[in-house]
Amino acid sequence: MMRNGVAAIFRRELSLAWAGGSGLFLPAAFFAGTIFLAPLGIGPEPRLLAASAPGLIFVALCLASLTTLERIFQADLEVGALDHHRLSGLSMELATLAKVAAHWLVSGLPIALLTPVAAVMMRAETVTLQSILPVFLGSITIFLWGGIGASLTAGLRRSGPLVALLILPLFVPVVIFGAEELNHVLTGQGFGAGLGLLAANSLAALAISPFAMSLALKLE
Amino acid sequence: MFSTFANPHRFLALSKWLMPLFAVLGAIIVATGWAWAFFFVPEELYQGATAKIMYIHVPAAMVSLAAYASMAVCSLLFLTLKHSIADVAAKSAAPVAAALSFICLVTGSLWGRPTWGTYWVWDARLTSMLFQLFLILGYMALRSAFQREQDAARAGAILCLVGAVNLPIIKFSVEWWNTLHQPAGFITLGGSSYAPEFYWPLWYNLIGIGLVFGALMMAAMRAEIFNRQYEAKLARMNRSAA
Repeated sequence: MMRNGVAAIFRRELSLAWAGGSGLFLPAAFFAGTIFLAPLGIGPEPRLLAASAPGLIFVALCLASLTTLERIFQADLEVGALDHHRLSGLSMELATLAKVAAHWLVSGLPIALLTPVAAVMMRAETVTLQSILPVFLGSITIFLWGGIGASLTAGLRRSGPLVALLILPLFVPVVIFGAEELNHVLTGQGFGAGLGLLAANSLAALAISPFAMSLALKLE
Repeated sequence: MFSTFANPHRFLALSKWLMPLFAVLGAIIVATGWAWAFFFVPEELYQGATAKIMYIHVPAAMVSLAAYASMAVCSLLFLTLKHSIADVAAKSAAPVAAALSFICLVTGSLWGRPTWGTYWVWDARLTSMLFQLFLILGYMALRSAFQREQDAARAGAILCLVGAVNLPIIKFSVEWWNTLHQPAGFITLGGSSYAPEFYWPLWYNLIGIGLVFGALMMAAMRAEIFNRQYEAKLARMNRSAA
């Protein structure tokens, strides 16, 4: 029953995102827009662009994740869907995790898949499909931490800027390890030490985030 | 043990004389400590008089770290034991901790100009202190966004604990990224690497700043408790009038 309930929440989130239409690709579009704007500010010099590519890609990923974060729990809280999850006896930890996972699948994964395109635009030396993996791992962590910010501010109106202030410090390790690792990949050195640290970070976020989210949503 | 001090009335009675005591002692120690540091401690061999900013910088850094740690402990106690005084303590420590982090960053920046040649470097310890300041500001902003005090308390406590779990990871990642700041030397496992004429004034100033922090925190806690008592009384009066 537990597994069915969690799967139902996951499917519901996906169909809601699908029905939302244009909102679906908003974070990916935001990500692409940031990356396309950057060369106009930095200048077209290939060496300069390639050097700033890893950092810019991760910063753009963080900012793009913020665009839709507040929607993870807010609408459900307003219509009372969260109360139903709670009353159904379903574990709130799993329910919140399912919601964040669906949200990530719709908003985070497309950004990770866009990484090679972004790297080409930023004139990176060696662009391979390997470059997807650091952003993939980083985006998981970013959405899990983001979920905490979203759950803490779910009961507030216009919480966007507040969420950004709350969770930006939590993005520091992801940006550091992620940009370092992406730099490794984009300069043709293959995977480096950062990948393990990125994965460790994702696991830490996975261990902490569901409990914090369910605690934050319990007494709203 | 916790429940003994969790009683607001006992806290008010205790802090009524403890707060002024801390304030007076702290003011005396800080004043004499700075006088000691500025006029009597010999000048450092390589940095000259500029190293004396250490007597503000290091105590501010250490006490602000301790203040954040105390916020985390209070948040944990509040979430597990539901003592409202733990929440009052966490809330009251936040602005003082933020101010001390800010003092630490400003003095560090001023110290960096003559010694490193620049006001700001993206060095590991400066960066983690900057993000600690952001965590505390986020905590204060989150609390102030809620209308009801119990919502603010709960959300604040969760955020503070998540931040406390993350602070070591942030610190590690930033250290991995870049290190220029001199390694910790004042208190290490192998004893202090400071000469005694620098070591003792630093301890003295640390105690002074710690006492000032304690006094400010207790004053803020008393104000918060009085405010909550007033709100509760107002609500009761409104109910009986209606």
